Amino acid sequence: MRQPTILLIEPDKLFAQTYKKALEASDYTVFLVTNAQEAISCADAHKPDLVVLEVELAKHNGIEFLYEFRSYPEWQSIPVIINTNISRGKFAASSNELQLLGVSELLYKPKSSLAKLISILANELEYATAND
Amino acid sequence: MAVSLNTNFDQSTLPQRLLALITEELKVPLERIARTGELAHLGATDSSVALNDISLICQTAIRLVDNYALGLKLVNFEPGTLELEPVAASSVLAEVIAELEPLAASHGIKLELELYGRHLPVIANARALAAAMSSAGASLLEVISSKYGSDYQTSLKLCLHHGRGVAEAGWYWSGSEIDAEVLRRGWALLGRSRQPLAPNLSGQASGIFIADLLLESMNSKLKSSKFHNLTGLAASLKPSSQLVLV
Repeated sequence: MRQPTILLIEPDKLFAQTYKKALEASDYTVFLVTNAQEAISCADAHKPDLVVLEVELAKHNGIEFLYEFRSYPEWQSIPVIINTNISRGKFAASSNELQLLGVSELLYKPKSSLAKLISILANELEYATAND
Repeated sequence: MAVSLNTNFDQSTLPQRLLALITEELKVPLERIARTGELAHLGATDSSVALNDISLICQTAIRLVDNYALGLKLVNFEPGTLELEPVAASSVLAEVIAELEPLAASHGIKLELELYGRHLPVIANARALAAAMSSAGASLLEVISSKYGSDYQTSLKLCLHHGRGVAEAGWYWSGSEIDAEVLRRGWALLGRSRQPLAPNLSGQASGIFIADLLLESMNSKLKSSKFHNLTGLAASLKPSSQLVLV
């Protein structure tokens, strides 16, 4: 059976390596990118099963990425989990906007954990597969 | 060429603004430690590798806090107590490079020390100068690392070169992300934004402002600067006239 593929968009190299190792240890194939532009190219090349996104990116932020990402019909049903250092109170996008952009979960990194991310990710993939 | 900055805002709120930024920034190393520990616990990394990573993250966080405390002491709590003396800037910069090498390696960035021409000692304080340069360097490593893709190979140069009657010491790189205007806006946003420098950068940048605070205690300033087709942040340091006569 094919391993599920995750597009991990994380600009902090140290965090990125940590998340990548943790996800790979949970049997996911991980494509790691650090900015929105690379993320679009990577999604185009690999068609990921799920996206894990830090919204605080250089140049185009994560919300801009999401608008671009969701504008392609073939990517509209791919689950997106936001995993960010920005607290809910400081978040630029409203809950409604995130819902419209198809964000499944919003995790605040300081109050989250690798185990929580992996568990949510597994649930989202299971849900997405069941609805395919 | 160097462009000096006019920071038009209430200087009395600077310590609080910096503290707000540093508090925010310190969450990142704590979080990195938590995640690295968790990764080791999951068995996804070797525990000795995790311990090395944690040690490096701790050193980076401690450097940030130490340099902030030193800057506050010199500028706000005990102004005028800093002893300025002839300092061999080249040896201070070499120490800074050695200090930041492990952090640079973890970000996949090469550090280079480039000394242009012969330099007389400068009037400075070796500890404050080293703290300022390491603060700015550590911040730039984070900012540059998050700016470029994971496969991008880049280097950050710590240069010492001649300005007009002064020695210019600072960090230079091939990008042009931080110019004078960006720094000016950064100062205005300091403490009010998680990333005060620029919308096209991510990562933390309080070290740049701490460096400026430390340089202020030596009657200098961090400036946006260009040298040999490189963009950078540098400080002008006066040569020691006493030693010129000798």
